[in-house]
Amino acid sequence: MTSLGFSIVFRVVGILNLAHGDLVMVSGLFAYLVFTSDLMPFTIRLLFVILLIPLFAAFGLAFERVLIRPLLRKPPNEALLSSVLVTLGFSLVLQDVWANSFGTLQKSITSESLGLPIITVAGLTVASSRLLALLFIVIASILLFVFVRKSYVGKAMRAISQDREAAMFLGVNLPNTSMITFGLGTSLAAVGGILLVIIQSVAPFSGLPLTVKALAVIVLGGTGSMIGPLIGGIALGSAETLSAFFIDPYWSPGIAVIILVAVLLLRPTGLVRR
Amino acid sequence: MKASSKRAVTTIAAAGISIALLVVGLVGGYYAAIATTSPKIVEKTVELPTQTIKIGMTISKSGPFAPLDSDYDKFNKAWQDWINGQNMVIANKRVKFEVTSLDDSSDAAKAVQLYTRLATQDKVDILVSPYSAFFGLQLIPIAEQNQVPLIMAEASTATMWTAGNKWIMTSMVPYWEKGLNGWSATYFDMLEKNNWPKTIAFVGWDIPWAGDDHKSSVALAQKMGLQVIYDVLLQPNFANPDFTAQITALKGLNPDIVYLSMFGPFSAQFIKQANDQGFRPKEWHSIEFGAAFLPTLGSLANGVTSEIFWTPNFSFYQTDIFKQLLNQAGMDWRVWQWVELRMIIFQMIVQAVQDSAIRNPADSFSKASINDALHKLQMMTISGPLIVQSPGYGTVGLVPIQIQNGNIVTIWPTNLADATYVHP
Repeated sequence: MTSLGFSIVFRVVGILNLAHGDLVMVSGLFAYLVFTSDLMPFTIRLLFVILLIPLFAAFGLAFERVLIRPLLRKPPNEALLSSVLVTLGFSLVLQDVWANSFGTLQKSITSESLGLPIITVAGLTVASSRLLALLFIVIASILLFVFVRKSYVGKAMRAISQDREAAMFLGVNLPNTSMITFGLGTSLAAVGGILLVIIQSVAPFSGLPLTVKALAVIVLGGTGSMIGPLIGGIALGSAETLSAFFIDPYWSPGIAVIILVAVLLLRPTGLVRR
Repeated sequence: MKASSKRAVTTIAAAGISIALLVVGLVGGYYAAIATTSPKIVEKTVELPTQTIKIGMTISKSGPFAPLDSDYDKFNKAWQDWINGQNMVIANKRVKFEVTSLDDSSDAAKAVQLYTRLATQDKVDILVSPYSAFFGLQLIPIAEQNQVPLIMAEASTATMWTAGNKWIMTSMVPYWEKGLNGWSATYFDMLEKNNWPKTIAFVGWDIPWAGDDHKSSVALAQKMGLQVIYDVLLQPNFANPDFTAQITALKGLNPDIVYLSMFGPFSAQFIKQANDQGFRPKEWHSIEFGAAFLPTLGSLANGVTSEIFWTPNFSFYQTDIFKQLLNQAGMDWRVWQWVELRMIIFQMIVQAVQDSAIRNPADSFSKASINDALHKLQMMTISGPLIVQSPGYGTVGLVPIQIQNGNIVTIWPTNLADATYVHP
């Protein structure tokens, strides 16, 4: 989810949002605060957590309008460089505001506290939190796919990602499409954060490493298509886990890097072509 | 009658005078004794020149180590206020302590820059290392080149003490020694006495401190006859590590104890992920818990064992003052697991400055003299006796604790335990 959100913003808006991982973390923090609140019944808390997704989308729209749009008036290379600086600065601000307001401790929710059972089928135990995450990812991916394929804005997004100037000549409203894309990317970050706080944990200073990993995933999967980051994420995660299990966990990060380099040498556009 | 009455009066008067003299003598002797046995602390205000001992350190206000030490500056402040309120006089000078804490953001390169600044520009008298041996190793050249004593706080590893370094020391035992003073020596001692586990699995991070603990504990487990059925060291991963491969392997082996030698927040991640995947060994042992452990795991933390250098049951030297300083700093010893090492370091510094004045009156406050005194320390600390050995490491070891119903309790040795070790 993180890579997908990061990727569509990069492809359509043309900027690298280095605060994307921090938005994932902040979403996880809010989900944590809501889930661990004793003031409301569980179903209300769950609704509030789901409400985070449109709230983050709205925040993404505002963020694009205020901070990103002025940068898009510059030539593409300058816009990319400026976006790195602006979003990196925003990332640092988010980290410090969190650390000073909520402390530096990791936040995490156990599956047990959410009443998520451990599922065993034919001797194979699967964490229901991970199944839930998989379900979320599948649903979100299908919705995204349908949105991009069928809706006017989705088609505009695809057009911009393929040829920005041609899309403009054809009457695509570039600023509005960029803004909606940013909102969509931020809402995907919100989904990622909600899942991350259940499966692993969130912390104020873990956002940037997550962004870097998302960057590796989209490079591996390829920026040419919407499905690329999903394939890249699955490929990188599987490579790490399988090499840790069958070869040696010590070499697992190294093997993941070797696979990344090998894919880039053999298929410079990534695993999935446009 | 008159004569006998006179004699009686004289006798009573003599007895009264004798008692009065005795009382005066006792009281005077008592105050004289206090004055001679505590010459360094002077209650009345005397115009004396002031000597400031500057202590410099970094702490991690952000980054992965922040959950472990970001609040130490509060403790530093509480200690500084308290010690300076003691009006300490050493070698006819009023001694003040000034602690400078800078933020290294959990970044070793930044720590190196800041310690260089502390040693060369701020000209501190004593450096105290930040969290973790990985950082400490990189700071040794700064201490050696600038000849500033560097006390390793939560940072010690075998290679520090074999390179002929003259300006570093620590309070902690050499816990990397296989089968001897291992980090978990008392834990394995306890296991041996309770004699319940048969198998153990080890998962650790390949970093100096955790790697040392890992290797020494594998040796200790084998020494006590435990069957080590899994032993793996991982490359550290600070960005949400996934332990699926190790958990899958452990599920197949089903060890009695899983021994985790990694930073506390990541041990908590391991336990959480294992639970989600349906793996629950009879006992988890984590060499560190720290601030994020209990909030991350909640009830899953119950039964987890770990180690610590001090618990409130210890009644050695200045325990009450330590508790008072923790209160003033708003810190909980169960959350800030290694804060006791900071207190021990401050105790070492005060003792070393006092010893330096006795051993070397002409040059009491020089870095060389304080360094020499630090290397010859024989003193009592909040965690028991400390004797700094010739390579620079100390004698303060750890005791096992267990999380029971959300509380951290001491379970071994029996004279310090406040709860019974719960095991299958």
